[in-house]
Amino acid sequence: MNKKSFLFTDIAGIKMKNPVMVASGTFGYGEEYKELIDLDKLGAIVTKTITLKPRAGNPPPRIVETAAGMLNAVGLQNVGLDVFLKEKLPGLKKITSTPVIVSVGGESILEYVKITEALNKTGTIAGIELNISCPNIRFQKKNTKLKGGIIFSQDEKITYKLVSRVRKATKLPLIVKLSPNVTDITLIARAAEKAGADVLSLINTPLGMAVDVTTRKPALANITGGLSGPAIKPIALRMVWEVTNTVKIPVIAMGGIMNTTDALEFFMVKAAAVAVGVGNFINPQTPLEIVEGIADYLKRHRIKRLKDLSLLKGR
Amino acid sequence: MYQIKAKIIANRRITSRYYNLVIDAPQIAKFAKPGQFVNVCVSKGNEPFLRKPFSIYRIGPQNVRKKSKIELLYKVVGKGTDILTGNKTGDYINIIGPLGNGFVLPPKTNQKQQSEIILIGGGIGVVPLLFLAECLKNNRSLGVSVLVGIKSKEESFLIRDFNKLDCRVKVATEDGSNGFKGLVTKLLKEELGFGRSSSVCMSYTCGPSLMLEKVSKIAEKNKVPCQVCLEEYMACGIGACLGCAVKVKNGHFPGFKYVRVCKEGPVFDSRQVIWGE
Repeated sequence: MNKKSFLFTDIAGIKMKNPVMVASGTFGYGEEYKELIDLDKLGAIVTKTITLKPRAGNPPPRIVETAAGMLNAVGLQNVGLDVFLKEKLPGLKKITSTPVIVSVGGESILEYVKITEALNKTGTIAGIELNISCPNIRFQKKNTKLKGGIIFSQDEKITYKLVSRVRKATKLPLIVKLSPNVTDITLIARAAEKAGADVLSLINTPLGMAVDVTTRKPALANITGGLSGPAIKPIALRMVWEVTNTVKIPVIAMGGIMNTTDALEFFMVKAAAVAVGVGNFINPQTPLEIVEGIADYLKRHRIKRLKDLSLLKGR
Repeated sequence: MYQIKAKIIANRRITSRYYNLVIDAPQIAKFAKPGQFVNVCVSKGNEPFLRKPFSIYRIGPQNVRKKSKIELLYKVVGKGTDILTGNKTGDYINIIGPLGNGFVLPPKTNQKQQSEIILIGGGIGVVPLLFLAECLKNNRSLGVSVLVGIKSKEESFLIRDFNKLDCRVKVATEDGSNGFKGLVTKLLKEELGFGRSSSVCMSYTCGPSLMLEKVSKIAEKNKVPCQVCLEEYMACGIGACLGCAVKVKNGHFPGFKYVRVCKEGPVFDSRQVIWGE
């Protein structure tokens, strides 16, 4: 038995040797990191979001650095379902035994269902994460004047409908990733739970913007982009706290996790697992250092299981 | 590709804005090729947040077969490079490299055939060209010409190391304080004019993107192959974030696709690049 087996985590049947995952969009298709870290030591790998057809992505500049973070508007550039199934997924499975969760994106409910049906047949993936919260992709809602449409998970009813339809299409563990760009995230969380989601993951990136004062133009070609990094951690923490106090299904937390302390904060608001996002860009060792760090913390405080790591009562 | 905590051998100030950083990084030095870069963690805190990419200036020490050091030449342009100047000999720095695809060296020609290589650099863009020039000079019997565009004579140190390599060096300054007064692209036009381009088998360029675009057009017009070393905002440097996209021809979208400067590049065949988009 692994000496850190007390970190073993089972989330809706996704069996992970530890509760530290890598977040979608920050880890490519996994193989990009193989020379830098031992992929087998990760709790789980969530792939870059896959769409039915390949997507070119947005024009550059796609990223810009901000205070304690960065904005991105990559626009879901990806190889598309076919190439993913033929090349990327088998390639990743060949180099690691770590559970692979596939992030799924789309512009219509039907697209999500089609991809899910194709993923059912692979037999090699541990779960599906529905990316219904990418700020750079929009769903055109009827009878709305909102230019560019809305993000799926900004609407309770669309969230419910989408998740229900995908739920009917698969028995695989189903994770639904939520957007922070909402007034009350617990409403969306409830809708996803009611629709049959096994797990929620949050937060995707809050929308932001930066201006280049030299050129007097938006810093991103897409004008707006998703903000990530330590700058968003307090927002993520507050939202995870709200959601874990609302739903019964487990929550995977992400948003600016850069080190063990950050991760512990999320566990203390009852996250079942955490995912490292842009932390991978700054230091690819981050998830593995957090695994070590959590183990040390639990030992030092004589806490047997992560589950026992909750907030204490009173001030 | 390695992530290492590397010891700083020297961090010398050349002028008020240019520094020379020498790092002990045997793994990287062993595999580095001209045109490749390292992604450097400059800050211990969150400002600036991202690593900063730097082209490799050369590997050393010279006259030793087993290279163990990499040398960077950087210009202080913002927070990141400003923090970098504070590093002292003996400090450690976290770097990832070597990254990207380097320049493709010209095919070996037989000795009797005269062939010329032209390198065109703009400002700090000379950095990867010096490493390239060293490789070309060490291994091949090629004539190497270097055209360098700089602001004024204060930046003349950028051509010093090319002179030492016994390359044919020509300088263009914007203010005329050293060499030709004007842009380096004008020098290139002269260089390739009057049928002289037929002896040139390859050109390599690095510098500001407008310059690269102009150089590409001149090279293409004169039927000289040209490899351009591009720069783009970058986060991970290893192909994961898709931040450093550049538009190239022959994709499925249709007629174009975005590729990663950090992975498919930073060096591209000039004819592949779709400029200004």
